[in-house]
Amino acid sequence: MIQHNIAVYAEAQERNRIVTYYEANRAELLHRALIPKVLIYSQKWFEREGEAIASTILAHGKLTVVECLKDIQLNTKSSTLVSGRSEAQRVLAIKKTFTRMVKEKCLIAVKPSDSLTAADKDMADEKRETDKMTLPPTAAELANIRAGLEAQKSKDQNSSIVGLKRTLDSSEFDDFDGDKRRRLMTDGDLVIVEEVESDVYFKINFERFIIRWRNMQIACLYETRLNPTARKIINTILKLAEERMINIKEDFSSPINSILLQNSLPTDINLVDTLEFDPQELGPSNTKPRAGECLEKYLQILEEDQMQILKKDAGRSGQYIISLKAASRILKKSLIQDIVATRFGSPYVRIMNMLLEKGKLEEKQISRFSMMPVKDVREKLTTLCTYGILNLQEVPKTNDRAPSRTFYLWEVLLPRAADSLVDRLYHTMANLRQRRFVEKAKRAVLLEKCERSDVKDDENLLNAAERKELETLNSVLEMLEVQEMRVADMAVTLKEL
Amino acid sequence: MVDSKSLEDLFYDECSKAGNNGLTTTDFLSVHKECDPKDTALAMNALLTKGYIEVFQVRGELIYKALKKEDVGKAGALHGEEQVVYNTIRSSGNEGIWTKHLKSKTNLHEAVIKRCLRALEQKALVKAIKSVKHPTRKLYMLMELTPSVEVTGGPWFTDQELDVDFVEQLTHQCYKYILMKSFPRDPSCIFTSSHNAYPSAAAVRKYIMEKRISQVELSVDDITMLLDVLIYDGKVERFIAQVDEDWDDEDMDTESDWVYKAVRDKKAESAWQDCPCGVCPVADFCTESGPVNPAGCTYYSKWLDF
Repeated sequence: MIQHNIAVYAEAQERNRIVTYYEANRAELLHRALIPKVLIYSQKWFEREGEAIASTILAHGKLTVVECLKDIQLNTKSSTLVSGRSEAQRVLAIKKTFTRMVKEKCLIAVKPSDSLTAADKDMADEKRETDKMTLPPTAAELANIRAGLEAQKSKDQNSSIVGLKRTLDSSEFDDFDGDKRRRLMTDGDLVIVEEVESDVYFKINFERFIIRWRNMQIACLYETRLNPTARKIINTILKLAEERMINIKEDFSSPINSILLQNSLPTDINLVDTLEFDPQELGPSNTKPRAGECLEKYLQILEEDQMQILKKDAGRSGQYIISLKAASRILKKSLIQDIVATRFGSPYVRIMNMLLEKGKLEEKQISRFSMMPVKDVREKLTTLCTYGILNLQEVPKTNDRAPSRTFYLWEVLLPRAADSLVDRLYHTMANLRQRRFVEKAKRAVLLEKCERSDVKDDENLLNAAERKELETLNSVLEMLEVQEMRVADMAVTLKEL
Repeated sequence: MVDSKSLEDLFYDECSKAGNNGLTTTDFLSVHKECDPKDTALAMNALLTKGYIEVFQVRGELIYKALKKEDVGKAGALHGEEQVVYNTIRSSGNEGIWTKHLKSKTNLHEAVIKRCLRALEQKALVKAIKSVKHPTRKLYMLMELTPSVEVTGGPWFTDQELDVDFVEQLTHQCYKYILMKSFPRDPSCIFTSSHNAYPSAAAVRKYIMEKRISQVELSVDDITMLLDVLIYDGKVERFIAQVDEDWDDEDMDTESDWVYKAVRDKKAESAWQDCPCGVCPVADFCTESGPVNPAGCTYYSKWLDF
């Protein structure tokens, strides 16, 4: 489990022995539901080699590039020859792709300290600082130390990325490995056995994949609201800014210059024809402006859009930033709206949106603003409340708290609603997975037969009924697996963004 | 010496002049010193019985108010309790008065009030109505008055109930109109940000009234209510119109600066609801080892039946 990054440990001195405690790494565990999607997108972004690397690394938890290469070669000995490329070419391609994946942070180096529990690491750092002092620290000093460590941590997160990039730019692979090693050696906390090995281990960086998927989702928002051209523009901005994104919780993307943007736009983008000008804007010549001007117009439209995701960087002209926080909120909100609409119907969404906009409201006000009869509204409010979307706040007018003299105010708290939905989504994922085991267990005899070596060699040993049953099983399993993946995807939006 | 008949007229005229503020006996006698207080009292009594004037008590003083002659005709024909009930109902105006309030105001017995109301209804002087706010209450008001918006709930109510279909249809029409105005004909195109032909509530109202979509007269406020609903539905957005000097004087009928822009229609989709768990009514009881469990779930069996 430690090899697969799903368990972390902590060591503690108890009397005269050292006791090791283990803890499940929940974040990493939950990410495992996304593995199929990671594989699909590895192929999309890094071709066949990317998928091979990702699946090999995922199968082993963490690997060095050498081990990874060996494993891929071992597993695909026969198929390489079919593709008509020499072994050497293939090795080169894989190495290149591996470098690219590290460079784009889809793979991340594993530090020895990654296997320690995060809380323990923080405590150790804190202790080191306090040990330097002669007196026990005051509360203010302690807070100061903690803030300092926190800043150091985020700086490390930043600098290691920059450092990685610099070494990669010198492009020779062996050099890069050596550099990496030296950097780690100076870290000074090489405790784990695996790190005694001379090479650096890499694992899949789920967070980077999630960042990219989120960016795609943000761009898609603009396609539904405006048009495909708007999506392409936003997509390009996010792609340019992606390199500097560190984690999912950032508020803003780094600023992007409009000239750089113009040069990076995809060639098939249609800027001029997709804009409809008012006649008085075109002037007497009645000709549309050129692409450059149209891009300016597009940026203006995007900036003035009610979603308010794209913003001008304050103080600098021609620089655009994307409010990732606002975008995440909108993504979450629209996902919850879609869930409520498909689960209950659009009148429920109406109530939800109204409360989101107006804050706390009473039943009667809701009925009046939503133009629905009170008795319908009451029923809808209770349904949404039991579902975890709404909150009820009681405000008694008198001290006796009599129900007749109490205001009952309803409100929507988006984070809380998201939490409650995430719970339900995980429940559904668990159900789907359990059902998958059940479906397999039902046909255990058949599956056992399929595993026999003689049946594997000659499919004709299965009779027609058995073959049909196998087909059914496969489609059932596919259905369940695909559904689990889709639900996991929704959970990511609600939980991680 | 003024005879009793002309004294009545005189007092009535003075009351009418005083208007809504009313008149006290002292006021009257200070103006018409020639009148005898006793005769005046008699005249006032006569007027009261005929229903020409009303009496109120304000800070220990009795104030008299004149009633319009045309109202008097009806009330004058009434007597005693009926008249009291009639006057109380009349004072409630177009809001109507609830029988229970009627009772507390008149201090009459319930049976008496019931009898009076029946009599008044027979004479077609008052009518019973129902309020939107309190559907169980029976309100009374004068026959010739139309109930206020407070009572009827405005154009959205038919028979004291919200006309949901009517509202839905109208909102849909509003949305269609705004959508038409929000995007160019070619669906892959968008307007530039200087485009300023987005409709305001007044423009939507004009469209609705011109197309005769509604049989009922609707105000801009009514339309704004519908548009608010569309905003909550996430179908339109509202923003302050750009002020363009050249175009300013052309749309004088727009009172508010808010204009509306449609959001492209998007079908709500959720992958979760594609599987039984997303719509399961008993999901809260579903556990691995409980009576409701994924292994024996009939919804799943149906879903996975190929």
